Amino acid sequence: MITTLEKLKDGDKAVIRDIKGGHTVRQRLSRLGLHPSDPIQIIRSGYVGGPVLVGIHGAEVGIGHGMAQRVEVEVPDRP
Amino acid sequence: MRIALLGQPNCGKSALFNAVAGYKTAVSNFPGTTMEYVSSRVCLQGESFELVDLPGIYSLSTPEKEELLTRDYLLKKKPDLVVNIVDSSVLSRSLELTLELLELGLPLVVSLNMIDEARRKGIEIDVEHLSEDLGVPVVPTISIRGEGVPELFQKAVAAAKERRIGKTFFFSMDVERTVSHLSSLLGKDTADKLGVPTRMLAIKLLEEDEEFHAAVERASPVVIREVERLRGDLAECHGRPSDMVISSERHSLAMNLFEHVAKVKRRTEKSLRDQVDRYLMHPFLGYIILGLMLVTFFGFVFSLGKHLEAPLLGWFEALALYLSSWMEKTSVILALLTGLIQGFSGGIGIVLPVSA
Repeated sequence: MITTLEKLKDGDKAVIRDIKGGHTVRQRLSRLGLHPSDPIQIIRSGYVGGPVLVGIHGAEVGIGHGMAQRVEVEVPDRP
Repeated sequence: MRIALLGQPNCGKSALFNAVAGYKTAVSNFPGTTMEYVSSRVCLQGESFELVDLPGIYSLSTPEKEELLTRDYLLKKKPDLVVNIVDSSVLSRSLELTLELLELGLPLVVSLNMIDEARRKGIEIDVEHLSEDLGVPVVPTISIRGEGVPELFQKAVAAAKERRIGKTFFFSMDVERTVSHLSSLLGKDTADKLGVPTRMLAIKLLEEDEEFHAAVERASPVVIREVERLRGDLAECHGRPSDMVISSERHSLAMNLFEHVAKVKRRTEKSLRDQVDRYLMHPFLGYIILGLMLVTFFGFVFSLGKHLEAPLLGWFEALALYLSSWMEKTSVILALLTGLIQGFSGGIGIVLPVSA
């Protein structure tokens, strides 16, 4: 299933597919270590427009709600 | 000799700076808080050098103004050596900056900081292997406790004298071909004027770096048209914008490097900190705990103030009386001292009842 980062729930695992945004957004996310085809896990999801805490390559990164909406992710379908 | 400390935000640069320079730069727990650079003259093991603490940056290409300060320092002031401080607990991400610094072509030493934190997370890093791969000295450190710091600077001074520059990491073939084509177009003169190696300038232009783009556009508009064409080609081949192509390349180089030198043991048990975090950062419970903590804290201060106020004021009065009995009534010092005491007790007299 393809969705965006801010829609995921606590503990969800996903793989980043693409970053839909301008140059600045791409640069910001890449600096935080988010690149296409990276596996991620949601540590705390963004409640009512709050930031999302994402686990990526052993680091925890907080991403603003607006920024998270730009991150397209693929969640493996549950068997 | 000038040595610059550089690393991603919150990797322990200022702690390292303090461990060596011996006075307190404000160390804060929030990334991106060192807003200007601090420098200090340091003597270590018979060597004297100037140590500069630069604001933390995630990458040399950045949309943030504060981070450009750091880049400008590296390009224009050219330190004799850069100590790249790396947060070992997030090694793979940190290595991306290390790779960029290698592109910069300044002598480099890597400090694997917070190595204890990495071990706690189950990451074992083969230091010698990493040093071999990067072609620069690598020293594990724990900067808040000063561990490994003397060795780090010993190696730093030696590397600065040797002018030891690390290895060049190459991207995948088609990207590399574009980079070298652009490098030859740019030529050494343009790059020299901007204070960067030609290869780095080519990479930065492909990354759509605004500052370099503008500078090259002024110097030779013809080249910029070619840059734009090459960017378009890259984007078309890879199905994503050229800056993303480069950052993905660097990312995969860093990941390969990480997998080559580090072993990660899976940890199953949750650490105490994770447990505490679960409650403190809970969207509802967190606020309740915050409220409770504030009430307890202020309650403590208020009750302390209530008990302290009367004895303190009495004590100040007694002190003033004692002084006037002991010194001449007309002396300047007495007037000054009683003035001081009255001001002081007056101040406390105002603050304490408010908090009580």
